[in-house]
Amino acid sequence: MNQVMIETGVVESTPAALLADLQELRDNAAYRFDRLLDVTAVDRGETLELVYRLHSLQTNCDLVVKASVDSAKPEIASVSGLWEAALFGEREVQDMFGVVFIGHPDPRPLLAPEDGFGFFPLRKNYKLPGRSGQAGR
Amino acid sequence: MEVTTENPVAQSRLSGLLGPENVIVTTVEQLFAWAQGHSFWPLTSGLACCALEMMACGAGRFDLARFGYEVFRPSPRHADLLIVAGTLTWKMAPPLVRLYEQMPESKWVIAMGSCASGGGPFVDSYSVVQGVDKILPVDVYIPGCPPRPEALMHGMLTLKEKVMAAKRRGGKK
Ligand code: SF4
Repeated sequence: MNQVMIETGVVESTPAALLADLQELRDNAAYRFDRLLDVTAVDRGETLELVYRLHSLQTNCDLVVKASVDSAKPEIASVSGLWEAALFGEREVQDMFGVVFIGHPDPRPLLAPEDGFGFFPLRKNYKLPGRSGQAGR
Repeated sequence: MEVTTENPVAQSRLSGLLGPENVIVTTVEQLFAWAQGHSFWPLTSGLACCALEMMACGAGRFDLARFGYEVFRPSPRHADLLIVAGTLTWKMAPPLVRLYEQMPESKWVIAMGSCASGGGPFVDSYSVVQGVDKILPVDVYIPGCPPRPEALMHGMLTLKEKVMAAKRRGGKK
């Protein structure tokens, strides 16, 4: 396959429809997004936007799927049943943004210490404590 | 017996040690301290960039073996010196403490580099331990980012002085 052009599109989904949408994108022969490149998130203030980057080995296309959850109660279904690659990505988002992935088989902290940081470092409302701020740890 | 050597320091030490019948008089503690101070077995414990300098220290150009310190052990059960060479994160802190606890007594800790000594360039970070002395008893701090291999050697020789001096004073360590 000598295709060098990579098309990237963005589609919006909802937490409720996410699993069905992604399954369709993965299994429908017209799309065949067989790889999950990354799971990450963006803090939009009131909402947290989950970002799933998909790639198709057959068409060499990229697709970004987004779904927003409420910042106060961030819960969304785990997509690790569709792509195992989501296992680590979701644990990272869980540590950094505090999103709960329902159905994740192993939700231990990945980057945070075993008992968690006690805060979510990549949320916009988190401020670095500075040199003296860690002393209480 | 007359002991002669070119080195005046060695001369005075030797003549202090050797009695008239060519017998060395010392205490078992001092003998152990002398052996320990001259043959640290460091744990292979590189955490970040400083580990490269630690490796260079053991390799041919700098040759830590000259001092008897080259036996880097991959198992904490065989080691008596923990060189914390690099950035310690809170995620890595529990395993490092566990390694330290698995080392048999007597044991020592060197904080190598600014990261291990006080957080280094990452001192403002939420994830980095601001100095391993927050969680482990440190014997010798080596400044630098990274310290050159000579500095690590100097640190280990300083530790040797500390080990032997403590035993001469009759201290615990
Ligand atoms: S002190 Fe500097 S060289 Fe050493 S681990 Fe920290 S950043 Fe790396």
